[in-house]
Amino acid sequence: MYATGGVPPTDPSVLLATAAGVNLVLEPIYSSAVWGAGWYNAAMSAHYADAALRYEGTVDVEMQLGASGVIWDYLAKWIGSERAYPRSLDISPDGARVYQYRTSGAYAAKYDLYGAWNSTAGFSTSAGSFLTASLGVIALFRDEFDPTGVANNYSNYTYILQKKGVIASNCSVLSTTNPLNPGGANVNPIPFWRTNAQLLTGTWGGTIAAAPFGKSGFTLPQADTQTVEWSLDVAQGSIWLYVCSGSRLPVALLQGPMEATGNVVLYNPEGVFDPILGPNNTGTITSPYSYAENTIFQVDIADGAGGYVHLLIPAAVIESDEYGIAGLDAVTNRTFGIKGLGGRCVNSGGYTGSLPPAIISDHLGAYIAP
Amino acid sequence: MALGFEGLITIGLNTVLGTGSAVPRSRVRLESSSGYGGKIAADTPGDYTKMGIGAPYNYDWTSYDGSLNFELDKAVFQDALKPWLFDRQTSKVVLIRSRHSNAQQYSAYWNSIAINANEGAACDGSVAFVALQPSTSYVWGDSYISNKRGYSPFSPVGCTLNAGWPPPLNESTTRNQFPVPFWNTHVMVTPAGGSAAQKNFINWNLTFSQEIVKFFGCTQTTPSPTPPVTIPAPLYLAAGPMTVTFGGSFMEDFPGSNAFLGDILDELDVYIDTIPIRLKRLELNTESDDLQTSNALVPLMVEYVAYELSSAA
Repeated sequence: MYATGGVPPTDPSVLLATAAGVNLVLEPIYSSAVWGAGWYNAAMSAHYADAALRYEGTVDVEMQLGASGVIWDYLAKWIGSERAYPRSLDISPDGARVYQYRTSGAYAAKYDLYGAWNSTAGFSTSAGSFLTASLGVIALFRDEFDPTGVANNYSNYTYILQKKGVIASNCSVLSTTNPLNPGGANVNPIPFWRTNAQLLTGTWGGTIAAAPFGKSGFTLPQADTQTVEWSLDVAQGSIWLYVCSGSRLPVALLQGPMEATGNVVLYNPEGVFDPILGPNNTGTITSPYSYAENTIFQVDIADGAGGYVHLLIPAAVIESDEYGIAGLDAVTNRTFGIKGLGGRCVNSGGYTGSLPPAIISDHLGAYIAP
Repeated sequence: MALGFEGLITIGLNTVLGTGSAVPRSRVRLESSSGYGGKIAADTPGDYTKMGIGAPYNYDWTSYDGSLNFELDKAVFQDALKPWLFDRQTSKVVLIRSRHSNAQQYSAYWNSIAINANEGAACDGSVAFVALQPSTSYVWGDSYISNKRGYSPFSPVGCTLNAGWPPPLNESTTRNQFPVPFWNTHVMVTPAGGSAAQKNFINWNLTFSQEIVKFFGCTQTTPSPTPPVTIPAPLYLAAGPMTVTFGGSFMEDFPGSNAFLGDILDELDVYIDTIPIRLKRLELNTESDDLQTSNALVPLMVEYVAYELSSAA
């Protein structure tokens, strides 16, 4: 990924990818018409036409902050505050062929058909794992080069000639991956225990409207509640605009309404609260304990330097509740399914208005105004 | 270029939970049925206009008959729709924004208002209206990429909800009112000579309709030869008689020999949250007790016509 947009983009960083399958989507349009075949040569289709083109897939990464938080900030803007705009990204499945998905100008300024858009983002972690993210990527154009980025000399990058690798052969490039757990900070990548995800109830307003990650006015429903695992998924509702233009290429990509969902598995030695009745049986079916207006879901991730970065569903509806017998040797937890809503007002960073159903802080933990 | 989330509908002072609109600008043609000596084919260049395609015509007053669809909330029922029923000859300002900063505004006279409740869903409604012409000029609006913030329901100072906007997030003071779910409605039925009792309707619909008639005069307007032609505006607009129907499906258990509500009802009150509207002097149109599939409820279905209307229960 490139922290700075432009032609060419600059300030590259290497993501800790565990999988990347962004592929050409071809889907030819097959004719289903009959054409006078016999039983010997009858085929489902003999005629077809090309479909419109796009590139689509996912990149799975172990999440990290990156040097000076550069990777976190890239993703926060790509997924959230600048989601209508594409960003620049290179993917090489084998170290020989590098696919470049690059914008034609500065980020959040040039809106055209070049670069890569985010389509989905699924963050999750559990005991013994890193915080991982599965990032949906969609693009219309890409260029294919060898790792020099300008030529097609793939024969120079065969398996047997790849003695040092593309990244590891250059110590300055390798250093952008932050290997060897620099400073012992444990944020490259981020382990599960660096995260803390809480479902909180309270009143949105006052200072929290200006500092949405401050949790002011919100508290844990039940003391000693522990978060066992969590996930937060964002879907951008991306829509290609295909028109009858005489060309295989769409004319625009628009980001639809964002959908945010999540799961959180909670443990409490006293048992976990009922979302309708609440921890002290104060709620009723007509006046439930937890509802979107009084509930937030916030993930705090310690940055190893005394600060935090955040993911936030600013208005969370509990839409499923699973609390069953777990088995002989399993801890009995309670799992809440969460849906994020819009409609929270914020007044921060020069922006006043409704928040999307999920927001991501910058690497310093601050709200990024759109 | 825009996406649906940029849209907005207001009726009067209320912003509604809009789900769709359709207000086509329709150029009404006055077509002649007379013969005019057209040719069956154009066999020589220059003869094309003589082929018989279409009929001789002129233009009438352009039509802006439209409709709105929305999820019903308590405020729009209480403050806009219900008062409009009792002041039915007046217009309300309807503003439709299909994209940010788009403006399609009309002084609208309703000719149909429908409200529905169905098990498992929010109540929904629709308004069909007649407008003589847009009350302001059409404005196309912003580009998609320029619309970063949309219309905020909140004031820029203090994040307080703007007047007339439906509060989001099902907040505690207006819980289950924006929108109103099916279960937050109920129907009270008073049979002829009987007393009111709540009936277990699993769905119901309430429809008000009236014809809005435009009266044109022969005003000796001289039209221009090419569009836009000058057409005389209607001289008068009038509301015809109103029709009120209530239909629905309800469940009964151990009701006795006849579970239906009766051919005549004295009153039928429909409550949207706590806001009632009373239908009086109802007469049955249809009733049915139909066979259903194996795992379906077996309700009784009725439809009544009302001949009086009251705002208070």
